[in-house]
Amino acid sequence: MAHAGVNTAALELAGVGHAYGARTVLSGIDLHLPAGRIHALVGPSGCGKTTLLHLVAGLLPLQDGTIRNGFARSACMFQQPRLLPWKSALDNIALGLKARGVPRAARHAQARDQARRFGLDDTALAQYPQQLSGGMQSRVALARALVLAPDLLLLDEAFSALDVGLKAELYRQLLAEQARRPMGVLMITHDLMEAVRLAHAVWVMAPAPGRIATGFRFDDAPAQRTDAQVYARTAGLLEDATVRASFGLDAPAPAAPLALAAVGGLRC
Amino acid sequence: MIGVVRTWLRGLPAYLWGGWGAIASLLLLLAGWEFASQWLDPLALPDPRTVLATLHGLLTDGNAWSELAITGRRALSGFALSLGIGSALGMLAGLSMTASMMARPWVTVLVGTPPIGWLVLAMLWFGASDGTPMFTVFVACFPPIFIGAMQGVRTLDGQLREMAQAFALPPLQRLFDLYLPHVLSYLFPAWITALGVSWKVVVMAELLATADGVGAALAVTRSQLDTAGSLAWIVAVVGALLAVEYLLLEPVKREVERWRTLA
Repeated sequence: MAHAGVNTAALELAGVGHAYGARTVLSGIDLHLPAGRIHALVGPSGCGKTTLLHLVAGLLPLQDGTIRNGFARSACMFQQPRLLPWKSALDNIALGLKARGVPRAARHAQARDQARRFGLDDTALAQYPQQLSGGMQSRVALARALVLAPDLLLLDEAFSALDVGLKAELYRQLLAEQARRPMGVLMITHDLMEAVRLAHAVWVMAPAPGRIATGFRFDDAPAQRTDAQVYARTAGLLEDATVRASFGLDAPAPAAPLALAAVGGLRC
Repeated sequence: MIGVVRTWLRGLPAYLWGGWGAIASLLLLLAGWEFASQWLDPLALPDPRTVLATLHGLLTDGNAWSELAITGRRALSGFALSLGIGSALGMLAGLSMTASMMARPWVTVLVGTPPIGWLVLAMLWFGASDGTPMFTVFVACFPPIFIGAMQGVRTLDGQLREMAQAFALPPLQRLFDLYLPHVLSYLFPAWITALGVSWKVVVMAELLATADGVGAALAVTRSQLDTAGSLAWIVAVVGALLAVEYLLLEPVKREVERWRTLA
């Protein structure tokens, strides 16, 4: 799985819009996601984040604008694990490989490899999803996406329903995978802190119709970020008038605004 | 396939052992029958030992086996036809909202038409051939199987379907890994119901329409006022149904649905 040279593939969205009937949920979305970067789309519920991700994943037909996906392989993780209840954890992880026509022995070996990195032992792999704890199920779901060695990983509120400890662990595993094999990651979340912790760029969406209101860049490596940094940046973002308006918060306290630049954030 | 047969054989002793409760309750029913027969005229209700002796006689002189085989062939071929066509059409109908809405009244008509009505039609169309009982069985078994298959497809979790699309599962894999396991949990109970229906209907059809098979034999015992003979045939048919259902279908169902019970 060695990637020779620089991967120049990218995901390019230009003027993407979508409407359910007469209700416009997305309009004029532009986005450029190069390989090896993690971009987060944050916004309140109902701002069209999930619709946007479904458009990128090809789960919805594109109505407006263009999406150019230069990545060869993409994989998805959803908010719910969405495992097949009649298949063992191992077979669930190997599902995407089976879809690619990888023979049984090879796909099981790859799935087992991936699972081991995630702390899933043979006992857990032999079990059916409903015998596993919620945390185990999430690990299986992430392993199912990552075993495909995707160039583009789409995360749809993938960590929202997990407790803090489990979130931290899955963040670590995601970033470790990202370090091992650079891939583009597009994640959507309503958790500003999660976006600030993981992403190189945070795009804040505003609702009705869903659009990108503003964006921020953080150029340091996500794996190096300390908790204190993450808190300071999140607080900095929450001082921003556009961000507050997007989430429907009251106008900011006009005291000395916290300079986001001082904690490493740049407005795009 | 060999694996399935092996697990079936391996699970059989424990499964049979678990059947003691059922056997005990059947024996209780037999005792009740014997008790009732002491008070009734043997022409109305012969005691079970006479009936079982008659059945034993029928089985040892060889007649019963051939009649049972004929009846079984008709019931099973009608059932198999229904199983294939009903499952396939039901699943197809489940895929489309319009098709399921259109199919529902048709199925209601099918369910509402009494089997005896179909039998009369079948006698007009197929005469005294095997086609009459087979067709009647087919029509009687079709609705539950069709409904089961349609419900199975319609109730499939939309999130799983989306997941399958996101992971680009090819059509065949989607069928075997996603649709069939889910649909089978609806189909199996429907198949078992239909199998019971097929046995009942085939005997009725034979009674009125054919010259051989268990139904025809029942017609003969009836005309000779041979209650013990009639009951012997009934016991034979019920026994055959129980054997097929509990020795074949039920263990297969347990194996296929193992994931469900382990939660």
